[in-house]
Formats: sequence, structure tokens, C-alpha cells
Amino acid sequence: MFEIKVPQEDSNSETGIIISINKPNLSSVKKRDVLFEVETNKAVFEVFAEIDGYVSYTFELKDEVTFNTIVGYIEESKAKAKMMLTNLEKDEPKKIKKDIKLTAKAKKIIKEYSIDISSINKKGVITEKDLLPLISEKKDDPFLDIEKYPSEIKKVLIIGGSFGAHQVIDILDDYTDVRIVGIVDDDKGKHGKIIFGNKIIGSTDKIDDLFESNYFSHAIIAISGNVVVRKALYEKCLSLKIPMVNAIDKSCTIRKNVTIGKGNVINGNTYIGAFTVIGDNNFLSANTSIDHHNIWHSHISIGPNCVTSGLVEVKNRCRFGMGVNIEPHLIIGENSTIASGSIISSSIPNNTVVKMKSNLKKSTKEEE
Amino acid sequence: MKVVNAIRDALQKLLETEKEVLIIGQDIIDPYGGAFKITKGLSSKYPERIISTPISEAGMVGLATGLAIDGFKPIIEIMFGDFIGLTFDQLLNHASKYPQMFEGKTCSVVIRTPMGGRRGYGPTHSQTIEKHFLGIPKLNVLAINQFIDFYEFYKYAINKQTPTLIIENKIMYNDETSVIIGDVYSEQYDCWLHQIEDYSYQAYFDQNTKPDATIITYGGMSKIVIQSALELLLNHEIYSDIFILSDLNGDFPQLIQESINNSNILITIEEGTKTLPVGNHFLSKISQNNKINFYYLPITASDSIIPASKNLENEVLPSKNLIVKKIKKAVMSLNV
Repeated sequence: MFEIKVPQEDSNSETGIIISINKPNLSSVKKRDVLFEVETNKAVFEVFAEIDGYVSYTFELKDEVTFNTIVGYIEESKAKAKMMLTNLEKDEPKKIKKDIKLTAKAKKIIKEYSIDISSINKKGVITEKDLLPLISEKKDDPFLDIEKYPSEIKKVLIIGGSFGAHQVIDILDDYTDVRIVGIVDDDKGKHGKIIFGNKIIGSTDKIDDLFESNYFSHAIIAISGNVVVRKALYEKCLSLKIPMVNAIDKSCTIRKNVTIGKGNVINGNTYIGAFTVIGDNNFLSANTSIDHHNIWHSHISIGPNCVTSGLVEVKNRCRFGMGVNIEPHLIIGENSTIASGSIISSSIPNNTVVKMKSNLKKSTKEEE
Repeated sequence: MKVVNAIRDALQKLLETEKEVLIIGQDIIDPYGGAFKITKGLSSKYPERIISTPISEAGMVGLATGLAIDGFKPIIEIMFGDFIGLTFDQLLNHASKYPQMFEGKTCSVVIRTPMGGRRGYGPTHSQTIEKHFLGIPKLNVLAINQFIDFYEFYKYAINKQTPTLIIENKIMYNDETSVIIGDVYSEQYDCWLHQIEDYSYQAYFDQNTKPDATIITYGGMSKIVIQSALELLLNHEIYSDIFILSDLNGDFPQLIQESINNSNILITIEEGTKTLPVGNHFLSKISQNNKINFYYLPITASDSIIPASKNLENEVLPSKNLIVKKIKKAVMSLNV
């Protein structure tokens, strides 16, 4: 008796599908005859007879078989093969029925949350989307309590699925203690879209349920253009007691005794001088230069290449364009907006809009 | 039932039911029964209606055209699709024009031919060249797929008033047919198959999820494309809507436009070469009367001969790996 095993030809698969049987049960085979073909995710390969004889298999066509396990026998005589086949039928063959297909992400979630998928009544491939309701059901499971997770791994939800999200994900992907679990955005047209491999899973109204179900442990707001919405979402997160993470690009320079709050996005090559205090939920674009002893409050959003000298204070909900320069000892009042390229040489009261005066004279062709 | 048997059965049924049907080709009579055995057994049953000819593809189509304008319904077998270049003049200057040139005349000629590679047949027996025929007005260019009712399909073709070229991809001949009517979940392909027109189908994975990619394909690529789309879903959760067309010159189903509106990307996949692919023809049809605001990615064979070595052939023709890689890259970049 010779045991037939399916060799593991593909290191990425543990099982394969029998796609053709060249020598059916009880056939006479010669050494090197092709017995059957197996398909894996990557390739189709043939399994050969290693001796002459008669075959009996534990599987049927289209069955999934596990590599390196016995899937059949070659016997010296047809009678022995027949007896073996009868025994195999009695013994419940060692085969995995081809029934449920799971995406890689779904497999990961099932493993992570120990989910029982028997309640999913769906034909076809099971994806992450199919599992979300089951994750919610697991909220009472103590195993899934956030506190039980290794504290170094933050499961981060990105709030906002536009260009800001691209920047935030780009930054967070460099952090080994962060795993982005999804993005929410109120534009339904974006739902299902993927940003750097992360899916927009729904609207911001799902935040409560997702947090309650421990789908994520931390959040960050990736909206750069609208400080009012930024603030409202931040306050919503605070009310739900959602911990907010910072996304600080690894190329930034943070000097001694700098204090940075929560939920800030700080893009590449930003410099923050000594003793500066940065509040919460700010969005600083690339190449921001904040000199020493600044105080930046919260919900501020600025364009790239803005520079503040020492001892500047920027209050809540300010918006700067790109390339704004602020001289030392000045205070920028709350909810102020400063246009790109402005050079600020005196303090600005609350709710001020600073525009640049253009020196360019526009002329029509007729005037010329 | 295997595709080869389904075509043979369809032809036999047509011979039975339509007395005007004749089959013309090289080496098609028994015992040989054609290079791919499609006509095996037919000449024994209908000896006067299965006509074996010398090697003269143009002569065969000329003969068939003459018979057709006289009321016959000839079905020609061109042994390999690579040889239909020899029929071009007959189709362009005669068969396709006669119904308009001569009032009251029809030209119900069907030319069936095995097209495509993946069998190691080399540069002149593996090509996919139907694109050269799409520009002939009044020539119908159809492609089989494994989901059609073969009898109805060939009956539909032979009863058209103008000539029809039917592309049968030779790698499909040994595939099992799976006739789809309506909306059916396929255990074989792990997807839903939806009959959108008589002989065209949509394959999709989840009706309630917007597609990330809209794919149009036809013929022998259909199976590889569905397998690629499944891999994209399993490994990357990229959802594809696949449209398998049978009439390459026909009107486009509205469903395709709706799918593109959701995915913002049209991917056409074919086994023909890169220059002027059939996909461009599809894009042109979709763009008529529509604003183009989506990304277009044609996936084709490279502009190369098809090597006889199977390994090299696989590098030239669009493989599952190549399709997965290109679609993944396109969808990811589109969503970033």
C-alpha cells in the first residue's frame, strides 16, 4: 500500500482544490501517471503515481484537500483498492468541503475576535463588511474589552475620508503601535472606497456603535479644511470618551520641553521649538516652523510653510493659508483667518480676517 | 457538458430543424470530424450537408456567400482563427455588402473559428485577431462564453440577415458549460451570474456593495477574469463587476454605465494584442453620447508574436497574476 499525499507546492496555501481527476477510483495506474490536478491560489499542479497499482481516494472532484495529509492510496490489486475505498467511505474521508470562502481581512477579524460565522446566511465570499454586525454583538465579551488589548497597539479610526485622510494614514503607517481599522466619512459616495488599503466603512454616525463595540480604540480627525466641523467632531469624540491619537510625521523636529495635546496632525518637516505648547485637534501642514515658547490652542488648521517666531500665541479655531509669517510676541485672536503669504507684524483681535493687498495691477488688453 | 459537445449538439439540432443549414470546412467529415472534433459524427448523419473543401478560406466564404444569397444558411468552420485574414476581402467587399447592394437579398453566413492561445501552438495558430473585423459595417462579431444556451446562440447567429463571425476560444472547448438563465449563484465561480441580455452576462460578488472596478471581457478570457476578480476580493477586498459580452458590435447594456458611475473605472480585458484593442472599441461605444469622466485601463496581450513555448506564451498573454496586479494598482491609486 502506498499513501498518496498532496505535496505543498505553494508556500502561500495550506489547501488546494481538486480540479481534475485523471485516474478515477479503482483505476490501474503506472508509475509517473498523472493521478489528479490540484489548484491553489497561485498555480495548478499535477500529482503523479509513485508506484504501479490501483488507486482509491478520500476526495471527490472539486473538493478542497489539505497538503501533506493522506488523500488516497495505491494498492497492489484492485480487490485491495476496493476494500480500501469501502473503508474510506465508512471512515468519513479527511477532506474539507468547499463551502465558505473568506477574504484575508475577514480571516484576520475572525481570528482576532473569535467570531462564529455560522449565523451568516450569505452565498459567496465573506468579507469584512459581513462581519461588522458580529463584531458589534461581541461587545459584552470581556476578551474584547479595550483594556485587555496590549496597550502598545492602538486600533485607530480615521474620521474624514478626503485628502486629509491620505496625509494622516501616510503618517500613521510609519508607527508600529498603530493599526488603522477603518475610515468614516459622511459622503456616502465614498463608502466602500479604499485609501492606502483602508476602507471607508460608513458615516460618522457609526462612530458611537463602532466604539461601543470595541471596533476601534482610538480616533483621529483627518479633516483639514473646516475647523468648525473639526471642532464639532472632536467634541463628539470627547463626549464619547474616545481617546484621540496624534499623527506626527517622523520627520518632524520636536525640541525640548514641548507639550503636545491630543488629536493633532503634524505633517512632515515641521519644527517645534523648545517650551512650545500645542493644544488639541490641530492640523499643521508640512514645513510648519513654530519657534520657541509659542502657545497654540486647539482646532487650528494651517497650510504649508507657515512660520511663527518666538513667543507667539495662536488661539482656538484659527485658519492660516500657506506661507504665513508671524513676528514674535504677537497674539492671533480666536477664529481668525490669515491669507496665504501674509506677514503679521501686530497682534490680531478675535474673528479677524487678514487679506493680502495685491500690488499687481490687472490690466485688460485694451488698456495695453 | 463540455463546450465542444455543446457546439456539436447545437449544430446537429440546427441541421435537424433548418433544412437550409449547411456546414462547410476543411477536414470536417468523418472519421476526422474537424481539427477540434466539433463536427465529428455530423457527416455520417447528414452526408450531403457537410461539405469538405480544399484549403481555400476565401473560396469557402465566397461559396457560402453565393449560397446564402440564394437562401441557404451556410456555417463555415475556419480551422484556426489565425486564418480568417484570408476571408477578409470576401467579408468586407462581398458578404457584408450584398444585402444592401441587392434589394431583397440576405446573407445569413456564419463563420465559426477557434481563436486564442494558451495551448502552445505558436505564433500563427494562437492569435486573437477579431479586432480587425470590428470595423466592417454589417458584419456581426459574436463570441461564445460558457454560460450561453449554445443552440439558441447559433440559431440566433444563422438567422441574422447579414454575415456573422463567431469567435470560439479554443481553450474553452474542454470547459464545462453552465447555462445561466436569470440570476444564479455559481458555486463553480463563487459569484453571482446575471443574464443581462440573451447571451451576455454580469458576474458580481455582492449586490449590496458598490463595485471598485467595472470590467468588460468576452470569450475565453471570461473564466480567467472571474478567477482574477475572486482573488482581488479574497486578498484585497476589491469588488469587481464583470460584464461578459457576446455581441462585440452590439448595443451596450445600460448596466455597464451604471456600474462605471459607481466604480469610476473601466477595465477591458482581452487576449488580443495591445495596439488598438477591442477595449478601445468598447470605450468608444460607451463614450458615445456620454461624458467621459472615468479612468480607463485596457489589459491585453503584449504587441508580440505568441511564442510556442508555454512559459513564454504565458508571459505574452494576460495572465491571472497580471490582471490582479494591474487592477489592484489601478483601484488603489484611484482611491488615494
